[in-house]
Amino acid sequence: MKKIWFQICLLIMTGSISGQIEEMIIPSDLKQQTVITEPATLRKGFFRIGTINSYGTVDRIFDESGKRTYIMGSNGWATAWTHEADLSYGITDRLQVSAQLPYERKKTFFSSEIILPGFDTSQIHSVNSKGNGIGDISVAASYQILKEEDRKPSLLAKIFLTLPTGRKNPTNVVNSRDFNMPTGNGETTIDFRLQFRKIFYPYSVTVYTSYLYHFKAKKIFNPGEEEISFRSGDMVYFGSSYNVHLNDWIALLNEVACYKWFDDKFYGSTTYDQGITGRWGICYQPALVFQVRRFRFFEVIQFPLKGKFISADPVYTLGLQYTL
Amino acid sequence: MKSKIFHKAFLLLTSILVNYQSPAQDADSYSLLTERFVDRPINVHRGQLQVNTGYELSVLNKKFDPEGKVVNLAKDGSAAMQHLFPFNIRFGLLEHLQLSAGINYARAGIRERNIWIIGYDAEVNIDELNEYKGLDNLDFGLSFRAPFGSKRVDWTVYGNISLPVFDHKPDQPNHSINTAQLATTYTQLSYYYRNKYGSGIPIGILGTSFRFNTPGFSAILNGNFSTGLKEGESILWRSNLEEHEFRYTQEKFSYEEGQQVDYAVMFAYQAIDWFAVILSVHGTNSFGGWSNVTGKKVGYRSENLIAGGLGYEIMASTNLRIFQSINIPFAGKNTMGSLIIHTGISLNFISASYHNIL
Repeated sequence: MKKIWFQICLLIMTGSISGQIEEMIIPSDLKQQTVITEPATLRKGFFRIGTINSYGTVDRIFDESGKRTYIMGSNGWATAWTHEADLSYGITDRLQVSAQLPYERKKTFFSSEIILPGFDTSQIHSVNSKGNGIGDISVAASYQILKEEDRKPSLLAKIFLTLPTGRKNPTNVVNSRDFNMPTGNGETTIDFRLQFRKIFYPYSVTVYTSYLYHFKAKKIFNPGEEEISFRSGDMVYFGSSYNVHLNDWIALLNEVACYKWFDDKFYGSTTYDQGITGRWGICYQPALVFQVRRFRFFEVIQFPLKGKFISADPVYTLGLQYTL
Repeated sequence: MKSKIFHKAFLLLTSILVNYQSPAQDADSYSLLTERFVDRPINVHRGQLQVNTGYELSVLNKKFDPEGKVVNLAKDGSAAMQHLFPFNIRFGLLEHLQLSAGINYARAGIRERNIWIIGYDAEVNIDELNEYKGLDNLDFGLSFRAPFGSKRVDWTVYGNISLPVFDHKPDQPNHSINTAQLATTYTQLSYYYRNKYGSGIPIGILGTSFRFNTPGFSAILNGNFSTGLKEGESILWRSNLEEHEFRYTQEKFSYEEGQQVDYAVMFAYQAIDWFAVILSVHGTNSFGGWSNVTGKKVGYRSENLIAGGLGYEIMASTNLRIFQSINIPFAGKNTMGSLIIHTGISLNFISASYHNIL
């Protein structure tokens, strides 16, 4: 009889020990999980705020034959900064909503020496066009269709809606090069994304596909032109990332994405319509993500590897997030 | 007699370097690989192999004129970007003797201000791009470290030779012309020159570094002198436009690289065991050298540049270090100034047997 009581006591003790382990996983610890170990969506009640800043220039393109080449015909030099406020909230353990509020800073420079032989004169003409202001705001909802388990990956569905809140037309037009640039694209888009992810600690693998749909919209493409209707070409993405923990708090993400960009449609006349068709691209995107308690600092460089009629310049992104 | 003395001195120095037991040799491989930034010597340890690589983005948007005034290249019409991928290996042959080898691959396209000629019935728009692309010289180095036997003070003397193993002569240009009949006859002339990075001649470098470490800080002073070791030869491409087609001819010319003095001061603060913040100031002065590319032997203008940098190093794991810096030019004469963002990784390995046995 004593033996039976002793065994029951042992069972109870074991139960209480496992209960104590459950208690040890407290929310503040969960908020310190890294980009590799955290669930595909934020847990219920978690709120993440952050800032994402991207910098890029316009220097080279992939031409029709897929060759990386410099943009010729002009010495125009353009830079673009995007500063985004990034907000995410976990409504349930499976459903997350998020919003991105961008501020755009664009600059374009042109410089020419204009020679007028008939008047026996020449002059240096430099133009610096700027575009500063609120960009196109995005809202998104993500839902974990499958939650990750020991042997099963997670499956995430995400809908990303971008609204044309930024200034869509050029303003303060002096001439074709001297004006205030738009800070928005002037169109509404919906991006639908499906993403599988599996964690093999200290690694994780992600595979995703997405379709970006553009709604028909109206805007002025170049100064001096009339507003015309257009519909930008949709985009299909396929991507995969292989992520690894370099130590407990630094993760290296390696993402490769390829995309097909369908042709734009213009319902009017604009010099922006260059008859470009068959755009596609492949990008490599390494990222370093530092998780210091609830702070997450990340740095991404996007390198276009191959493509046709797309930009061939890298884009730098720096971000800082904090989970409340 | 002199050669005998030199021979004996060389043997004595080699004997000291091989047999001298520094404090580092008592440590195990793990301790050496996880040494904090402020505890490290200038060279790598005996048996340590270090592989450094990364990516460096330079935004060439500033120029210093002969008076030192800043010219905004974006407004001037000649801003550019350079993408550079460095690769460098260091190996500690002995605790006081390091071998190194390195090479860079880079690409940049520097535009010139457009020239737009407007006539009564014709317009010509001329643009020019100078592309620089490829591998530069292959660099080999040897660095001797003074056997002070202290972790606090370190001094090295190094010599490098930079060899022109890859072709340095520019490729045939790829100029183009397009004509359109608008209100006037509009002609777009695009000059596209394709240059390379190699110097075409061997370059010798001699330098020294001094480092002072405290438990929380390090100060590093570095200076070196480099010079071309012989006269070089390259080609200049000329072009003629004949019936809407460019025909190219090449002309040889000679040149001599000038001399260059580089110096740097670095202060490092070890904020946490795995995280160090690094502040640096570095300068370059170049002088001498000539070229007869114009048909006459013309000397190069002397140039100088001073830039400041802020960066950090993170020890991510036993073998991996991550470093990043941003450099901003703040003074100079006759030279371009680049905003440089450097991201690098350093992989480190130590052969325990080599470290202990040799």
